[in-house]
Amino acid sequence: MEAKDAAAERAETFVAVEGAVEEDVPGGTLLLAAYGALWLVLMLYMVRLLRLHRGLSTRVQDLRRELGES
Amino acid sequence: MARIDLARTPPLLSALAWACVLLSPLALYSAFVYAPSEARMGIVYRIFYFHMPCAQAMYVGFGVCAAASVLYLMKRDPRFDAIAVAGAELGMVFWTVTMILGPLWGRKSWGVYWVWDPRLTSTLLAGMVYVSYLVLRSSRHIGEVERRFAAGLGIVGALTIPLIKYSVQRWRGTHPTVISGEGGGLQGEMWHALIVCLVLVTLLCAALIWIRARFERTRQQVEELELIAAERGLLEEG
Repeated sequence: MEAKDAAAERAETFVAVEGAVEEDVPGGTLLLAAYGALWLVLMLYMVRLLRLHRGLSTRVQDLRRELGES
Repeated sequence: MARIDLARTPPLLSALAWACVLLSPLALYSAFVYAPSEARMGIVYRIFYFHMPCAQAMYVGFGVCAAASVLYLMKRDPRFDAIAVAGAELGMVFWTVTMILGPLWGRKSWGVYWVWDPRLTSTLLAGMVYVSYLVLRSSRHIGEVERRFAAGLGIVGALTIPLIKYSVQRWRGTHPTVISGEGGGLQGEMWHALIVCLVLVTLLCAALIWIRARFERTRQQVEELELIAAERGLLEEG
């Protein structure tokens, strides 16, 4: 009989654990990572909007100055 | 001559921003404290309270981009072009959040970050279309032909929205269907928390689209004025 890979083994056989079960995927860490990412993306976009605003204000001021001087 | 005033904020936009500020703590309380943990997934399912509203906000952004693109092609009014750019950009912001939050939930639920599920794949496709749109719009001085081509891309991209929405029902993937499916759905407190988060994220999306559209319109007006001034020889060289 050929040796089965882990996925095939898992699909065909359920093995009972002995003692306390330890979760291998930490839900709390994933939750924290998710909310951290949410805030990070939104904050980065706010920074982009602020930079855009500053850039536009500078261009408007430059335009006003140059048109005012000429 | 166009009047440029970035300092004056429309009262409705201020009201939207204040509503977001006031709703934020309520949404966080609803998602983390008020809503009970899910029996099989534990606390990680709470990602859903911002994942699903962000996906809806992505639809809003792409939908606004498509609608404004249609109006731009019909009327050639640059204000619609500015709204289309804002819609595409905010759609991509919420697409990014959706595509980060979803796989983090999937890691716990499916054991892997990514599966080639119909909804995930069609969402990825929509993102690629709008990335192309934003790349096309990223150059500083674009002409009418590029604007019209981008409008077409904005409309084509929105055709993926029904594909995303109904792919789960049509091709039955592994993506959850607690809202649209025929299963037990959500329990009372879970619905309340979801509605609060949905309202918050939708208002935030609307406010950000409005702000971004104002900036884009201002940029268009500044460019028009710079062009007129340059043609009349009123600007300094360089």
